[in-house]
Amino acid sequence: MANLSLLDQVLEISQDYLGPAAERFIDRQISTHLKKRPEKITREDVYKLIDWIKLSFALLTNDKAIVEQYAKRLRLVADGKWNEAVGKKWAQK
Amino acid sequence: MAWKKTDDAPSYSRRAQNSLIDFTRIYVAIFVILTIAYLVETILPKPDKAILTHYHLSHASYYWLIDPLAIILVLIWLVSLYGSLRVKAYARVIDGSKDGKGMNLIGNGLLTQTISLPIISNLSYILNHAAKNHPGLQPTATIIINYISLGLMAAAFILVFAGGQKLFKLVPSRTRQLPRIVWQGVFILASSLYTYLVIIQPIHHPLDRRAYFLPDWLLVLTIAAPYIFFWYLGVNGAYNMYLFSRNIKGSIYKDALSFLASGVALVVLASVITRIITSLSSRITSLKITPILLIVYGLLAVIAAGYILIAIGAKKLRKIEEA
Repeated sequence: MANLSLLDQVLEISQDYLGPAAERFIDRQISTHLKKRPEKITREDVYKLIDWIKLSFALLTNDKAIVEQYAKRLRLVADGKWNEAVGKKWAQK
Repeated sequence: MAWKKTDDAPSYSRRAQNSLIDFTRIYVAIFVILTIAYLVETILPKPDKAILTHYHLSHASYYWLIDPLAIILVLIWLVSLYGSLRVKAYARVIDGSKDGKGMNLIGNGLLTQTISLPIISNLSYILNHAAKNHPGLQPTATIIINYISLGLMAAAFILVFAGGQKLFKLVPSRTRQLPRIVWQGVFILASSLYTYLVIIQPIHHPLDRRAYFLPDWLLVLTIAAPYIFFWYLGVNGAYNMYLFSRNIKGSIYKDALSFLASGVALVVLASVITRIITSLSSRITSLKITPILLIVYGLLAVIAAGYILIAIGAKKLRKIEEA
């Protein structure tokens, strides 16, 4: 997990909710709201991205707990605390 | 990833969208013409006196039975049109992605199945009308209708199967084989029942031959066996979609896809039930009007449920791509 880029970490988490649509979803969020190429995102961008993702993702589900869980996991990426052990722990939940 | 595409990707996408709009317009126009023709053919003509006598119906009660049935049928066609176009539109949105090809094939299969509904109804009306004026044409008319129905269903289910296969190949891990063995066993039993209904029954009830007008060997080789084979493809396509939805990541995506897979499975099931009813047509028409209506409305309910699930699934999937 340590070798994964920031974008790959975001994608890995997003796939747990959006499956094959995750990559397209994240591409869209970054290019539309951050006006950047997805592979160029920084940690600061991930914080901004979380707000946009929370808004967009809330349109897809009424389950607030899932939206919060998704945001919480992305926050770990932004904080630099997302690693293999943390990923495995979340996968077991 | 979308960003890795070439710079002219947006213009390609626009061209693809435009061609989709053109295709959709032509498709919908043909569909609407066929549907209006069906309504005119069903609602306007005077009822057959033999039918009125057989079911003890007055002219008014005949129209009270037929008109709602025709309208409900057309509403189901419209739901199927909506659902199929939604799947196709979704497939075009995700064109170029891993799941895009499979979805596109499934969308094409559903569109074929949808247009086959008014095509077969109109063709049946025209050919049966001609046969009414020239009774010698009845066997030819029946045989043509049966083979065209088979051909359209085959095309639809081959596409659904191919789409399901493409999606199934994306499943990363091995899946359990027991459920597949169970449904294949059930399928073999159902196929045996269907063959029994098609072949054995006419020997004892010659009236049943009116459903096919073919010798038994030709009936088995060119109707019964192909139907079973193409149903197998259709069921397999739906099952592979189901497996795909069960074995991939993504709780939101899985939920949407399971609607689509269940809908496709019901559409295939409705095709099987329709065929069984056709095989039993002489016995069913000898029933009183109430059981006949219950059978027809039951079948319509299954078809409607299938296409409603497809429409809901496609709408949910599309929503993910628009968020």
